[in-house]
Amino acid sequence: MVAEAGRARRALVYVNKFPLLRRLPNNPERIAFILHRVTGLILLGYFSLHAITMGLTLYGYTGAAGAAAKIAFNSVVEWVVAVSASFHGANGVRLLLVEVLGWGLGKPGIPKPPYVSASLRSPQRIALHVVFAFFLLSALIVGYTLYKG
Amino acid sequence: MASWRLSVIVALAFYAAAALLVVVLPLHMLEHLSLLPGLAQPMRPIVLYLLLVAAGIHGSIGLRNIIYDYTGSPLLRRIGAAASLLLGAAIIAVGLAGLLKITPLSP
Repeated sequence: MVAEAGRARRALVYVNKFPLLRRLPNNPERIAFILHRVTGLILLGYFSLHAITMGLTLYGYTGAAGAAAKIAFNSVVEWVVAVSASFHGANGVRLLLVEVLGWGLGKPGIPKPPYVSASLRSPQRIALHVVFAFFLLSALIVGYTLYKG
Repeated sequence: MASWRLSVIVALAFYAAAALLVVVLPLHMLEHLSLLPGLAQPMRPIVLYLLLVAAGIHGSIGLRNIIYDYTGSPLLRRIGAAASLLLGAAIIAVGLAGLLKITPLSP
């Protein structure tokens, strides 16, 4: 009992220290939220470097050509960017459907035990799992393609 | 302009750019696809222009949203918003300068 309380207290301290990791277990929405942000930042970093180096190269500044080629043709970078794009894109389409069109949220109802929100029993939850499956599948396919090519 | 109105415009631009990216990013990736020649797309300048502008707007607003979520201080928020706006503007300006140099804006 005392050990359990200690574990719970340590977990709380850990969660308070890293709010980004709050309520991760059995919470795929939270995992998707974090992954969407992380992949978004990865894509923004890649896109910034890619667009600026390519823009400078096309404009005639040849000093940027080497950097542009290094960024565009590195296998590890390609894999990370392709996998990030697949997750960010698939989850982004789900978010557009849910947030803009209100699709897949289910009908609101009177709260009853065990108080599970209608949205967590709706098609959007299935769509979330499809996004994760697509993410894993794309990671494998892109990895295999880059490894073979 | 009232700040709520500006926020609505920014949110709409964010979603519109995202919807545009869903179309133009796969098209741009198919331009480089050598594995499946049947699906490969020819280079189209309009795709590059739209991709550059949509990704610049979406990335800039997305970065600002992340900064806003983890920053409480108004000063830091203003600096973050200005930095993300500058980054987006720089990406679009440099990219457009390069694209206009090699290809005119035509479909």
